[in-house]
Amino acid sequence: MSTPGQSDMGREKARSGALAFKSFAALLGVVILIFSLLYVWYQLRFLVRSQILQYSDLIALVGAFASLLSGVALTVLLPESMRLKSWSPIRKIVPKKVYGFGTVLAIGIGATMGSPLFILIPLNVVQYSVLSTLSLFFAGMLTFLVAKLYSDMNEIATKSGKNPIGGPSFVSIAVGSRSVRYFLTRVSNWLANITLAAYSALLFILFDLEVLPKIMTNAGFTLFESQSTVYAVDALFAVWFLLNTVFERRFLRLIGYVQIFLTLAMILIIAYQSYLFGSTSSWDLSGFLSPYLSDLSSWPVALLVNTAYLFLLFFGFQEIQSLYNDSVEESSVPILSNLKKGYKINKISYFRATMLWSVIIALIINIFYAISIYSLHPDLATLSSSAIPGIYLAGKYLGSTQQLITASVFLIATFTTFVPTFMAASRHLSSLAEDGYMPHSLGRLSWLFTLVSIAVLAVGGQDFLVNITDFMMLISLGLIALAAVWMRKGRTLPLDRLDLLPFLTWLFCFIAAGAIYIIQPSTVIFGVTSLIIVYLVYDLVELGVLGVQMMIAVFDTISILAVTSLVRTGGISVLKIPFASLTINNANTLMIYCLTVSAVLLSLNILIDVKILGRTRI
Amino acid sequence: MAVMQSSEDPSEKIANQILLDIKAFMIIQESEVKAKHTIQRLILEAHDEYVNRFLRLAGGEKKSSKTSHIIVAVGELILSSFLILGGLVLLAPFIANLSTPSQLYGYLSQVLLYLTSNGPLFPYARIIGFSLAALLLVSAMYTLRMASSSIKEAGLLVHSGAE
Repeated sequence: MSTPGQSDMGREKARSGALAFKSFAALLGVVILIFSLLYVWYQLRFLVRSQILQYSDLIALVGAFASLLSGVALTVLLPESMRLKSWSPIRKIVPKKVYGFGTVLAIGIGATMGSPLFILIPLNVVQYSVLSTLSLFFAGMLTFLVAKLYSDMNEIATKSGKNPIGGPSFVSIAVGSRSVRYFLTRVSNWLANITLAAYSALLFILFDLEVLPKIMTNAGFTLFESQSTVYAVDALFAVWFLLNTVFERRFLRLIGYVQIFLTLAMILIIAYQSYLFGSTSSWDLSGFLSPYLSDLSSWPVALLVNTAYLFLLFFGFQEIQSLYNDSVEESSVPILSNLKKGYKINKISYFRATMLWSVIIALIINIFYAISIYSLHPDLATLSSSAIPGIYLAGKYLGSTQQLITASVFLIATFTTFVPTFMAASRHLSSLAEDGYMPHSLGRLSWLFTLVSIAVLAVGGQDFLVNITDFMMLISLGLIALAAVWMRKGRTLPLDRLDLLPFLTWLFCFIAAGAIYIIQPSTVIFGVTSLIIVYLVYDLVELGVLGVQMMIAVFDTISILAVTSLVRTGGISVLKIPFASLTINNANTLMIYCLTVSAVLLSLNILIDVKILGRTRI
Repeated sequence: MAVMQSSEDPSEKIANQILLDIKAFMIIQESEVKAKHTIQRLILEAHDEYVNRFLRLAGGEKKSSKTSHIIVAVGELILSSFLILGGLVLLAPFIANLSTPSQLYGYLSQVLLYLTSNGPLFPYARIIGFSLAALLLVSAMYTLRMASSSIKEAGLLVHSGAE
């Protein structure tokens, strides 16, 4: 018979053995991870270069991804079983209530009116004239409906003691943070924000490297002066970025004041230049209606498609919701409070007003700008070939000084778009960590993941980025609109009278998202595939740590069966390891070994966790 | 008299209190989804032996064993792995923009070719196929057993004598 001391010793020995096994598995996991990453990289490069999809290559890629997942799962075995506390709640940021009506409105308009308007509006209105203007109107109206639902939900949530920060938080309040609807909303909003940030970054690079030096030279500046200005612009961008991302809490008030100044300057200059454009051409709107009068049947579909395309120009208003914690409980209203002394409105009311007004102001300016550009009747081909059409038009019709002013407005628009979207994207990821979908240690690196994702997506090209941003944001906002129904009664059906507005908004958003298929089918396929993968990731997270390991082990086994058919006939067979001058022959065979070893090790780990470490209730 | 006795019984007193608490809990709920979420988090997933015993008793029906749950889970994981693989194979041509019928035909005929090809595991195809099929069948049986308990829980049973 063993004494308690002996059994304790035996348990300790078993525990040490288990940890030794996990260490060994983690080490092997790193090797498998590196090999799989190399394999995936070579296979993807091969597929992109060959432009031909072979079944064998696809299966090899699936096998490599299975091996990659196994490598990750094995690598985190040890830290996962030793650092359970990393999933505990993280320290919340202490709110600093400094923003009032004016700042919130300025941030809302600044985030809504971004640099894309200098590209999308000129090209779209010259190509589609009245249809483009109507599309702007409908996109603005759809956003207005969403903004109204935001403010309604904000009121309900605040009155019931909840703290709604950002649009997806409404879905979380309505259906819980562990719901797939919330997860889909959050991730699609994150994707839309990173694609918009990538688009803004792409435009900034284009402006910085190509457009600005040319404008400076045309305006008579020397090479040295134009180079210095480019560097100064880069430095300014870096300072503004750091101020917002790293020192945001410390300089919250200053950021607010700068934002008011920049937004006001931007609105006034765009409005003034639109007036100048119109005056130059004496508001010549000839042919504005005629291209579409002959064929009225094509209007509805064209209008729908174009509305979806231009939706990107409006949805920035939702940035306002993320300022909720940093805003004062009561605020004075510029002009109104001057006329009526002591006039103040509460937070719910001024959040409602700022959301709705930021959409309306953006809509008015966008339409005014579009019509004024149309009145110039510029050549579409020349416009398409220019890097940033808005700046090109200012140079051609208003002269080099106005072109320089437009360039500075473009910069302001970039500053007020890229930084908020980048921060919103980072916030979405860290919220997912707070909700327990990923470890907090990864959540703290959300800015890095976002930055890397932006860099990867920027390769996609302008059209792809615009369309995917629209698609993802329409899906996300559609779900947020439905949250108004879920918040009230916990389910969607049966619908009643009060559900009409959220239901119709959801319907319009989803129909508009589907309409993007007509412009670029691959974007919608990519978007839907991303949503399916997001759903899959959600299900994997819901399986729990051991469940995921079981799933990977099973998937490895199934992948082995699929990959074995490729050994003789396809896939990448030779891998070159960079920096080490090593070559791996028979990479497919090695992948099968990796998959087999991973499946065995993960299954053993489950047994050890259950039987030796007693981490479950079995 | 019986009422008097029961009201003095401490078990019944507590049970009555639980009943009142349940009612109060449901009254203050804003949405059923949130209520379900709270119950799941704080009660159903509570790592407390007494709570689990209470839930077993309250549930009435005998729950399936842990082994059967694990077998069902493994079977479903196999099934979902097949579905993921099949889904990816069918999705790939659309991602890769194979849009013409001849391109799609070429791709799908490759799939058929590989499915009937002579890979290195071909000698073991019989035993591998049999093992997977047996696992899926056993899992299906346990899944059916769970379905039967779900049907009972849903009240989808015809009582004897009922018209």
